[in-house]
Amino acid sequence: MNDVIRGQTRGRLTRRELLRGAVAAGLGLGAMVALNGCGPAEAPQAPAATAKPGTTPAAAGGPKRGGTAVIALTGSDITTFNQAAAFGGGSWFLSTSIFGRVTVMDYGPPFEIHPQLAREWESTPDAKIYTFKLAKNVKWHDGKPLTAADVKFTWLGVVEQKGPAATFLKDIETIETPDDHTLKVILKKPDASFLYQTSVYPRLPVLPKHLYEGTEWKSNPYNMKPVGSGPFKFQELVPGDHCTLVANEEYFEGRPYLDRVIWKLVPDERTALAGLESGEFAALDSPPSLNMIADLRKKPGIEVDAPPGPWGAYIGFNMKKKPLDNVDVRWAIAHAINKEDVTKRVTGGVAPVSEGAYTKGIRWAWNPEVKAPEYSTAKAEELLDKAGLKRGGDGVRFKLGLSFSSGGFYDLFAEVLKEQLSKVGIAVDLKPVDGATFQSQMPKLEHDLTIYALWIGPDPNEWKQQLEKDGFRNWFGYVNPEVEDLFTKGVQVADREKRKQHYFKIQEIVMRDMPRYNIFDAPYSFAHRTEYKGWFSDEGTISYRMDLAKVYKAQ
Amino acid sequence: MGLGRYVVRRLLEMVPVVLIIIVLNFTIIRLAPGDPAIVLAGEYASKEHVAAIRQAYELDRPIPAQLVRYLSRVLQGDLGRSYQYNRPVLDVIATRIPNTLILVVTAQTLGLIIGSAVGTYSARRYPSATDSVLSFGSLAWYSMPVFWLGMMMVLVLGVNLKIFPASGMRNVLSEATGIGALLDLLHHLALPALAMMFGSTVPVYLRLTRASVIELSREDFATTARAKGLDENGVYFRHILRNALLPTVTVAGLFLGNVLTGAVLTETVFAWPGIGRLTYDAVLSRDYPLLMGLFIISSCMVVIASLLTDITYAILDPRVTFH
Repeated sequence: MNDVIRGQTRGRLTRRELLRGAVAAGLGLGAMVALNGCGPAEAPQAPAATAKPGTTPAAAGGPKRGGTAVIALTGSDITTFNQAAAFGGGSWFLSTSIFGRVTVMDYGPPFEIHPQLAREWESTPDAKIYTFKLAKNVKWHDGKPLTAADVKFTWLGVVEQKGPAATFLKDIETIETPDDHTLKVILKKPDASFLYQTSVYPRLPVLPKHLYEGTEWKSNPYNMKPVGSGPFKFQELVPGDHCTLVANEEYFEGRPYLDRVIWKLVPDERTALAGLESGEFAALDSPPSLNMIADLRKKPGIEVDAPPGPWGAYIGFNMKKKPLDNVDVRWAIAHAINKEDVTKRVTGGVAPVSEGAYTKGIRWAWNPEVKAPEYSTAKAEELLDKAGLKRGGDGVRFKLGLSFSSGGFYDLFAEVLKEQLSKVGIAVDLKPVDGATFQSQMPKLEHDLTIYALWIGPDPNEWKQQLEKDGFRNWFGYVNPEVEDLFTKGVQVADREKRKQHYFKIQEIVMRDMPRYNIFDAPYSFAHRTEYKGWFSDEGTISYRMDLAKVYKAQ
Repeated sequence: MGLGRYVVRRLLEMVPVVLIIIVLNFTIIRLAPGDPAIVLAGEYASKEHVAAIRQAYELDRPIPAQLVRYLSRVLQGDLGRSYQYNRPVLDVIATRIPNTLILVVTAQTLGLIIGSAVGTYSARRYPSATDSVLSFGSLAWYSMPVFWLGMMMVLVLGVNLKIFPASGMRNVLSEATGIGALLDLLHHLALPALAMMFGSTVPVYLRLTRASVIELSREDFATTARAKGLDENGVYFRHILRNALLPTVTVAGLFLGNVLTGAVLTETVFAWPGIGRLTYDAVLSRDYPLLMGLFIISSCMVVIASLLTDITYAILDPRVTFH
């Protein structure tokens, strides 16, 4: 199936598609899909921009070497470059051009895993043993060779040092390194999602063992003067202002086109977009706000990719509170929501409306048979009447609070939902808070309704964090042992055809129980100047958005 | 009392003030919702990881116990390590303070000079159309939110006309040093300093000076000076303006003491890497040690600015003495 998808996309995708995703991460989004129609019509990318690994860029007639790209960092300040030791939003993307990873995932359909330090790999059918063959010509920026021992040291160290990715690696029983370029990872129990988890996030950079061994990672001075193996080398950091990287002449996949990349901190998105418009910035590291994309696309010299991601923007119900403990009430609310209208108004038509219970972006795991409640205020009213929640003299049946993290598209999203629910007699009280407050409030389950957008892919096992009893993003009070059992079975076999049966079933149950309801497949957008190219490969599957290895400035 | 003893006494009085500020701020920011461990762990961290962070930073201890430990460290001169930067708080703040001072001192100094001069000019033409225009104009400027004014300047002067750089404090592509680097800095300083001046300092000093001068020019001492045959310029510059500066100095002291709050918006809009923006980031990420450090520094600045104000008073007005 993957091959089929890949075959279809070849020749059709442009860089636009690719990109998309990359970004995701900082906010937690994901990436994905995007096959068609995400940007202004435009000729396919120049083939030259897509040098294959191992070839030398800058061939005659192709992209030119040289130049400096300035990229606006619109997130927080750079507090660390070492994402393996601590989460640092400021260097989330930037760190991927300094550090190599074992494998990487593309951010457009079909969300394949691609080689980076590992040139090939295989797993046993029970998804318990993964063997990687590493490239032999990789050097650290200080000239020392990178070997399997570095990877082993990093992966085991992440767990030991309680790095942010420890949760993905904690089930590693042992790692064997029969030679310098072979890595055999043996898991304690089967996990078919292992490769995705180690590929998706910038938080698994491979660290140089010779600089980190025997140290406390979080306070290692190399966190702020990183020595990696990626296409760009660290040169300078001016705190709060900018960070300069220079081309790694000895990058094992070929020297990058750009001589320098400067990441400049611009915390205000409007200022950053003004800089993009004036040509000061080649791109923004983080996605522009959804409601700005339509306008941005009209500006000359700017291209915006906004593929739907593996994450759904949803409304969540706190099932521990009345009247949301009643499934009829949750269904009634779902019936009362006009998803097309919400999507159009909140995203300017950029995002696709969600279909079914999961996200269509992850085609293989999406169950087309699961139908979402159709928009019908009559049905909503009928269910609410049935639940005994009659309209009062003022037309109001009951009141609910809607808690959300203010900023981005959430404020408008909440307003539109409030308006729609009022039509069926549900009075919604908006409760916006800042991100940190929101994150700490949700697990307490004191709210009524919430809206949020979270990754539920690219591996469907990601969805578990929202749906299992102890899931750290289960903000619905949802408990269903059958669903948990299906998630467990879903990773016990490597074969997708077998895996998907379990996820199909989960989608049926989740739609029936309705702890959460997807409204639209939030896109993960990326804005850049049109004169900068090479953000995607010609196949449209590999994104260089993250490491910038193939990005160049057109003459 | 001599100036020296007065300063020492005032500085000693600072200690309990700062301690009270520490206790209040410490308690308030911990009572506010939001958990630094969740922010530090990142969006996709597990519960175990969050718990481990909470434990590592002693956030799982009761607030009074955390406060006692914090106070004991502060008294030894240790402001702790920033959660986000994992570096000593003082180091993090020290790299940013000069940037904020460059911006604030420039905006204040020029604002004071221009505001006082135009205010005096306007007052001397009171009542007249010129005075009305200046007076109303300054009110209009002052009513404009700094961030909005800033954005307009970015769009018009930075993006459309390309006269000034829209953000940052240096051209990251330039490798100039010496005079070249200084000119580059001034070029970048122009927009944020202008935004601060016209959105805040110039109108305030203008209105303040204008009101004082108008009022003082009707006072007996002004009449006496005129009666003595002093020309009008002499009356203004030797008598009226000197007295009119007293409220201006008070406001300048308040402004300087509130550097941190005053610069947050301007620094954010113009991507100026100062402590205003650092504070903004620290609040969003609930970086308690860094926030506390910023509050302590800020409260010290308020106290010191007030001390400087009092000293300036004494210099301007011989009737004021140190007690």
